[in-house]
Amino acid sequence: MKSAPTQFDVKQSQGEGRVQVTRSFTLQSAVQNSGAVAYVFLLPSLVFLAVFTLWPIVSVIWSSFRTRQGREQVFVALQNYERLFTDPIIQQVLKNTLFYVTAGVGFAVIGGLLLALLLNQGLRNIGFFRFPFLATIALPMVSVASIWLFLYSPRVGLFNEILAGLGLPLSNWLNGRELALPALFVVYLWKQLGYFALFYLAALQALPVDVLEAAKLDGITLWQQLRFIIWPLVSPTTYFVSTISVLGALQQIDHVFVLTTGGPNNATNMSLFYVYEQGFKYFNIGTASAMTVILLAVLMTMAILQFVYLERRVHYD
Amino acid sequence: MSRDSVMYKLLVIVISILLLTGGASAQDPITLQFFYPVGVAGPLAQAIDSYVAEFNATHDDIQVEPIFTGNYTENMARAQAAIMSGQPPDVAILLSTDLYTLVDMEGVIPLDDYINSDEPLDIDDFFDAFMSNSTSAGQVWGIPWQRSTPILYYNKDAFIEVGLDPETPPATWDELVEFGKQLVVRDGDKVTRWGFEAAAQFWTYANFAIQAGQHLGSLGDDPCAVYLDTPEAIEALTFLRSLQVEHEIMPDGDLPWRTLPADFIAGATAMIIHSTGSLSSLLADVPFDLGTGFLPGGSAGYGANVGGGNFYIMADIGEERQDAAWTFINWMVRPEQIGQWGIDSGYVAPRAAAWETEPLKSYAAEVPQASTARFQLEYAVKEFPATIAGPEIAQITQQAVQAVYTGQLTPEEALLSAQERSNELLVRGGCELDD
Repeated sequence: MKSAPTQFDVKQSQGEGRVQVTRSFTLQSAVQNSGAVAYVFLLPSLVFLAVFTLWPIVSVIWSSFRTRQGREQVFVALQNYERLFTDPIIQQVLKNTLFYVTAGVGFAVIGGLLLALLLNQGLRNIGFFRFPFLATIALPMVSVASIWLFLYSPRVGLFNEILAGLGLPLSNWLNGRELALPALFVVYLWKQLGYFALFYLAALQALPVDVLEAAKLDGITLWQQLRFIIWPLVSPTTYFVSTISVLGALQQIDHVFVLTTGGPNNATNMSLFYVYEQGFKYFNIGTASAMTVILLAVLMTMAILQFVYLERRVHYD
Repeated sequence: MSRDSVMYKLLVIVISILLLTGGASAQDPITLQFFYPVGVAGPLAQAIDSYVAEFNATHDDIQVEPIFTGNYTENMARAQAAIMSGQPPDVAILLSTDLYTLVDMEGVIPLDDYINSDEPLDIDDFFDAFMSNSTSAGQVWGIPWQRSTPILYYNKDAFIEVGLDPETPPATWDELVEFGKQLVVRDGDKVTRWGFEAAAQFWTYANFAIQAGQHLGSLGDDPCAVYLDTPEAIEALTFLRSLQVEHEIMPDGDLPWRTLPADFIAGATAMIIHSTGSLSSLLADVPFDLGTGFLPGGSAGYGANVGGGNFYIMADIGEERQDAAWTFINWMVRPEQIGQWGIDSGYVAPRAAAWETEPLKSYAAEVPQASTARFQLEYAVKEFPATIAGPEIAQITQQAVQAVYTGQLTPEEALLSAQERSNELLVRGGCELDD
């Protein structure tokens, strides 16, 4: 035992010339090592996570095996899940959701990157051009949707006025089966594209200038520059944007309320809106919970897949 | 401590004061929680809050706390969640068609004892059509408050323009088609004004079915009755579709309920069917002379169903609070009060006495459109769907109508499948259907 223990002993390892730092035991370092301090700092977040995320997950799984009878919630095993898969509208709902997710990711990544490339040009007053694309992020979806409702209106709306002016046949937009979902998607994209472009814009501005300049000296084409330099270098952003756009597409509900309420005949009914209808309109808490559990499972699987596979291929410099 | 000491006297005084105030606190006013929704356009929440404020100012022993809970759907969801958690509100306005759900949950109490108590209510004064959705198993469960019925709104200026009598709206389906064709205005291939619009919506369709001779649910007290697949029900939807494709007086495609007033105000259609609850806002917004009429009659004559919300008193809140809730309801539905509500909102005052009492009496003389819905009540019946799983069956019916309006299915296909899905829900909800 040393009479006056120091916290760190510095030993010189003769052979390799490295400095080795070891810790001798004190109470302070024990607390630090056990991570207790870290947990104390994490506690507020953990409490919120437990109350607003973990507990609801447990509770929704519990409810998904029960159904309401009178006032009671009685256990019905897997009946809610069975009902879910025999509900004639569920296929339509899943198809619509899948469309939103795939189109959402595609447009977020490709459209977002292209928009960011345009907004990254060294023009004078580029802020003037950037502003309108990025301003849509700040608008509340409900106001956006209310304005688009008027644009789409088949009889007094702007779009049909334009079609009529051009002598083209008029469209029913939200009121027809074919165009309702794409029309809804356009509203979502119009509002969110600037948000995705913002991440790409930040990534583009952080690109190493010397790499691009060296490539230019080598006579690289614009396409090659995009494909072999920019695309790989922004891949962490692509990873991030594709993740948040999937989550974003699955969470869309407010413009469905304002524009179509899921109609006509479920043409625009999507997973979250379906959960709302089952849970709060029909008060089928069991069915709504079962659907939520499935959504949750899909999201978790996706998150895991994305971490395992995508992250490996993401290039960090 | 001796009896004469100052301390002793002080103690007596303090204890007496405590006892006195304790006695007073037992007479603290009862505070009632009152859930209410707003279902139509307009500043209706302010109107309700101001009535409640007046009630509170005139009642020392009861204080009502109004809680705005969103639209009908959100309001009902909150009320149901509150009932299931064992902490219901004391009094609530909920849809009249929610009656069976509420009774099934044992969430509300019958009101007959109150109606005949020493704070009586003349229930026979309320219009029959509204009471039909307020009674079950021979008992009254709800007191009509914000009740409506759809009526025909038409543009009198457009009628004059095409040579029709502006005081004579179409009285039959045939006249509807005939007038509608005259009212359509075309610019080349494009229609700039349609003759008529009826929403692709269950409540609108249900009226046409009644006019064809088929009420879609039970006219009596059967929560298991849904009749979507009868020849008359199919005939009604076939007629609506023919207005789009054969007669071309109504635009093709889905017609959402909420877009009709905008089309009508903009002059994009000359006639619409909408709730009487829209009357106040239409009167304020249309830039032309507004006409109102009964819904045109079909082969079974005039017909309409009713809609809207009733007052309910909740179970499990104790007799004292239920008594107080009744005092509040009885005050709200006084003829002069519910008449004022009719003027403020556009809803049909649901009792005859209100129409003979100021301020509604003068208002009705001044604004003749306000009385159309009242007189149509003679032909009005119970609202559909007052059934088990009502909200879901309403939605299924609505989807069938939308499928027909968008040309996806024929009326027969759509309604047969809607009937099948409704039957499944009824059976799941405990109904026994005979095949």
